[in-house]
Amino acid sequence: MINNEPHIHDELDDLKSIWKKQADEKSYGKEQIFKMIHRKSINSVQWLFVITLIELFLATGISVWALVSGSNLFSSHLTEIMNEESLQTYEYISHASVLGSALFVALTFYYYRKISVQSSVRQLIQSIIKFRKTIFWFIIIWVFLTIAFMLPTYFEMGRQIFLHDYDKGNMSAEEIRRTAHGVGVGLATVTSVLIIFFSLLYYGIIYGIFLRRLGKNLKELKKIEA
Amino acid sequence: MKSKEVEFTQLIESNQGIIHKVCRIYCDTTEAREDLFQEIVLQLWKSYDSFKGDSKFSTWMYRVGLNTAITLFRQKNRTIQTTSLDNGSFFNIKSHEYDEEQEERLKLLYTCIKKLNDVERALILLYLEDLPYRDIANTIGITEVNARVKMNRAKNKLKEMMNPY
Repeated sequence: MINNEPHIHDELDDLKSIWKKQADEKSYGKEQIFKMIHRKSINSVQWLFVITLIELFLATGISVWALVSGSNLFSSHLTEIMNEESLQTYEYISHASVLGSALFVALTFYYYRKISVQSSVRQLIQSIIKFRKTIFWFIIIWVFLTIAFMLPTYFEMGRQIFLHDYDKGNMSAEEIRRTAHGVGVGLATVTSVLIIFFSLLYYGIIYGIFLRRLGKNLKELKKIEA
Repeated sequence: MKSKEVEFTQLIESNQGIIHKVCRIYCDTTEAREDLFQEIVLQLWKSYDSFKGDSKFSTWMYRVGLNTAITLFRQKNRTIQTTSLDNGSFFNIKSHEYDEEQEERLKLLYTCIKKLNDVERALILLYLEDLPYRDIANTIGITEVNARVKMNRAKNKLKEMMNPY
């Protein structure tokens, strides 16, 4: 095989002959190769998929558990003081998320199946990035919806905790109402910030570790086409 | 061993030089190279059924090998201690063709290749292995024109590194 380029007999062409003379560090026999094809190994894309499945099974598991057992993650005291409507809304949202999660698993699996080691380097990186983007957008939507739908529940929780568990002394009815409102807003805000913080931390670490190198290589390939 | 396994292990045994070279340009330690070698063999085996023979077996091996090294494989020890780095003793010229000067040039070539980014390393490997530009472009997933342009840039970069003065 010869490069189609006009032959330039430069230094690198000379190096080709040296390159071809190099000895293999070690040589593997048929038996060793046979063992290699039967070993178990999980590559980085498979790890990503496994992590996604674990996350979804955990989320789905909690919802299914709540649905089947009629329980929730709140303490019995909280369940007592919260109004039933808020708790029900919370449960409906949890159950709806099961459907969303199932849809997401299907979509993730679809993109996962499209990842083929026989594609070109560029296609492979692109399909992994697409797979990652599906997960990324699901997480963004999930975090956003969680905050949006949970805020009323946590607001109500904060309000009820103040109304039931704190000594109001000689506060007027208006002061109690305003303070309860403030505690509700406070709890909802703190919860939102915590959800965002831990989501960023968790996904930043997981996907940062797995996909930093891929992003860098895709950028390199885009530069080539520019 | 089943007949398919026999056929495959024979093909890998006689073409293993390709995998060794991919491992050398992407890994710094013997342990990492061995891990990558095994991972490439496994990926080749998993895809063997869908190898249609549209391209040569060796060209297909470069593609799967490079994809595994660049995208799927994660070195266990990413932060390599200087003391654990190889001293280059594995960059040897075949004993019957031994030439001290050539061996030094080979070591220098590897040192310089390792300073290139992942895509440039792939281009230089395919160039040194004398693959036609059409195959290089298909393997990387870029046009032939871009492969030539990028190859010239990578070659110039490599030449500058090898002759800094």
